[in-house]
Order: sequence, then structure tokens, then C-alpha cells
Amino acid sequence: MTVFAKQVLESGGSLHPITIELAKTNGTGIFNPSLYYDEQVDKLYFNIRHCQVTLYHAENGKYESFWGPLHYCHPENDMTLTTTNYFGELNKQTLEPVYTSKVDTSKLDVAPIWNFVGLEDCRIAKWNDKLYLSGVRRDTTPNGQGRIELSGIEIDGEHVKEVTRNRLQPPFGDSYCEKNWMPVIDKPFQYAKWCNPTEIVEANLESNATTQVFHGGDAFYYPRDFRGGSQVIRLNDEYRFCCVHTVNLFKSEQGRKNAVYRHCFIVWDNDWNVVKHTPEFTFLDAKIEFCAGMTKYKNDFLISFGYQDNASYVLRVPESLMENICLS
Amino acid sequence: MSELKNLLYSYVYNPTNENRLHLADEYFKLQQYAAALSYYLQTAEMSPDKDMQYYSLIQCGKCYEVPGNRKHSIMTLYKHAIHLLPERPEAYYYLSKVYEWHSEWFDCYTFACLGLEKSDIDDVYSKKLGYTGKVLLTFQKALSAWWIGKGDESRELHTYMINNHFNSMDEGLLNTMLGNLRILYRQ
Repeated sequence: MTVFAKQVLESGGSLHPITIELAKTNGTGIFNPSLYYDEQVDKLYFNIRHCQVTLYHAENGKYESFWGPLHYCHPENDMTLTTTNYFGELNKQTLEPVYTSKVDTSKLDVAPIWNFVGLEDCRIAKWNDKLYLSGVRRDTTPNGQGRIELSGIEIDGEHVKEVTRNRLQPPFGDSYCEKNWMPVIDKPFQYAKWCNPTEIVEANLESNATTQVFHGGDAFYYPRDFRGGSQVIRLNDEYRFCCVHTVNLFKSEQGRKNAVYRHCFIVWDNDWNVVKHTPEFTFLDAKIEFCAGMTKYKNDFLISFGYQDNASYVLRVPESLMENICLS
Repeated sequence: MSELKNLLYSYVYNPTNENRLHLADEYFKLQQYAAALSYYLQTAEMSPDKDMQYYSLIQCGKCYEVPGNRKHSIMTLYKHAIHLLPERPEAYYYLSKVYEWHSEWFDCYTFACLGLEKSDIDDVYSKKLGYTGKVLLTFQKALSAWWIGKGDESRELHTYMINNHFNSMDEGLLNTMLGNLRILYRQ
């Protein structure tokens, strides 16, 4: 299994840890970062999910927790998984945070009625000159129904405020949980909802409805689902691509949950035909990693990922390496 | 390049247990406790060196102590460490502390007593843990003895520590001992 970070470093790229000070996080996990280079203002934005939990994953099953090999260790009087988002700007050279600001959601917040609270796994998109965080929210129904919510944000200095909120419905029928839709950066309000077969939907913010605008027909054989990851961005004039994850959910011998996440790149031509999916890889050889961001800056692709839901990193991948991986 | 990034690169190029542990220690030093826990736990799971595993498990527990209110998770980690190397004293001390925080005085006393039966080990891991020896466990025993009805033993232990370990106690511990003594003899 390729350790992608090592491959990137050996090819002239770089790896950058992103941290947020203890006073903001209380020492719990910061993970599933996204990022977006805004050419209009020449700024590199990032968003990181923070929860009041720390993931415990005994990868070899040697030192399981009280609750098994894999669990979210939350305060013992707070069973929620509560997400807050920290938005900021990265220095484009060092890829270190210039500032990090908790997204102010006070204008639109309502009291949660389920125990997954907040907007989870946000991807940053800029469509029609407005910045958005697009994630899944599950706290608005008593059964945890998940829907993609598109939060419009405005930045005033270092204050980041949510100013609009749209809860998008799936294009057909009802479903329990919609998540990990990948914003197509060069197609306003379009998402890659699935990759195999490819399903592209477009959101109408007047009605909050989505319409299927492309369906790829039959799926090709692959042993696991490709699940949403980064945004879908341009590889070059001929191709779009994204980084997705696969997941193997299983039980330990004692019947407790466990999981292994892997990633790969999916490449489409301009007609949304999948022209390649790369072999699966890990970023840093952990069994739980999650990519939620990819953007292009100058001659590099920048990929952001979470490590065991506890840490965040940005990889700077030379364009030549990425083209080699995705097109050769 | 920051020290964290240096250590990260070392780990990526050469993912040994030692390099992973250095990375964990750096995250811990930077108060990035969730990230530190991930790397400590991997080290505990993957290293063949039991002393390294032991240290890593205790550090995992410390990473949970900062956010607080995770008593069972913390205790599980210290108990893993005790199961692994029951002859080392440090995990008894940290477990006794957890019971102290929750005013569970019988268990606080029990694990202090068990730890005091073990010989101190003067190695790199004990130093990295900041474990300064039996004086810490003796204090745990002295303190908890009071709360489980052993007033005379508590007074004796406090007096013994002042008379014999005055110079080996840090300022915080010394002040606590002196404060306790004033209360114990006033009553």
C-alpha cells in the first residue's frame, strides 16, 4: 500500500501539519480539513472540523479502550458529537495558518434535536463570487436525517460569519442520510454525489431542490463504494478529478465496531466519463484518514486530510506528480 | 522548518517506533493532545519494547486528562500499563491520582499502596513521565489515608515525608504537605 505522503516528499512536494491552539480546542480532535485557493483575492482558505471528542483507534487491537478498538472518546456527561468549524487563511508559502477563526453560526442556529450536532466535514467552494461551506447536518430531525447544507459565509477581517443556510434535498425520493457530496468547483452549485456510477446533481437555492444533471449508467466492478472526499477540481483543460475514500466497516471478535479507510483519485473527462481510478493509498499509514479538500495553487495541487480524526495536514503535490498518477 | 515538521518528515521517511514516539512527544509538548494520542497509541500498539509501550500508554492517559471528564478512558489506559509491566510503579501513581480527582479514596489508597511495593526505576521513560519516585505515591497514600478513616497513618506519613523527603519534594507538593499537616494536627 502506497504511503502517499512519502511518495509526495520523494517527488519534491511537502507536508504541513495544521494546528489550532489549545485554548480553542481543549485538546480534542481537529480533523477533515478542506481548503480552497481563491484566485480573485489571492488567498488560500482552509476550514477544519473540531469536535469535543478524541478518536481512539487501537489499530492492532492490542490495547482496546473501555468500549472497543474504535470509539469517539467524548466527555462522560455529553454523548453528542458536536462539531464546530474553524475557518482561516494559510500562508501560501509556508502553508501555516495566518489566522484561525471559529465560524460564527449564531445568525442561523437552532437548537439541535439529535446528537450529531453541527455542520460536519465541510468542503469549501466559491460559486458566483460567494464563499460556501458545504457539509452534512444531522441535528434538525429527531432521527438524525442527514442532508447536505450549504452555508454561505462572509469574512470580515478575521471574523467569519455564516450568513445563509440552505438544506438541500436529494433529487429522487427520500433517503436517511446524504453526505460527502463533492462540490464541482468550476460548475456552480453542482456536486458529484456518487462516482460509480457517476451522478452529478445541481442545487437550486430558491427551492433547495436538487436535479440530476448527469448519470453515468452502469457501474464498473469495484469491491467497495467510492465515497465522497475532496472537491472536484480541474486537473487540466481536459480532465476533472477528486480524491475519494473507501471504507471497510467490520466488527472485532467481540462484536465491536472497527474500520479501515483508504483513498484514491477518480479522473473524469469533460463528459463525466471516468477515465481512471488510481490504486488505493494511505496518506500517512493510519487506518482512519479522511480527505475533504483539494485545490490548485500555481504549479502544485494542495490536498488536505485528517489523520485518525485527531490531526490535520496539507500535502503540497507537484502538478507533474499528480498528472503522472492520474493520467499515466 | 519547525521542529514538528522536522520530526514529521523523519517519521514519514523512516516510520520507526522511535520516530513515531518523537513525533508524539512533540505534539504533546505543543499541547496538541489529540494528535499526540494518535501517535502514542500507535507506538504502544506497534513497538516491541515494553517500556516504550508502557510510557506511551501513560502518555495517552495524560492526553485525555487535559480535556477532562473521561475518567473511564483514562483509567483503562493506566490499567493497560499496569497489566503490561506490573513491577513498574508509575502507572499505579497516575491511577491513584485519577481516583483522587474523583474522591474515590479507597481506590486511591489501594493503588498508592500497590505502587509503593514496586521498586523505582531510573530510566529515560520514568524521567520523561516526570515521575520523581516514591515521594509521589507516599503523598497519595498519606492523603487518601485521611479520607478512609486512617487519621493516625495519614499524620504519620505526612510527618515522615516532611522529615525525610523535604528536599526531594517540588514546591507545589511541599506546600500541599505543609498545608495538610496544619489541618491534620489542628483537628
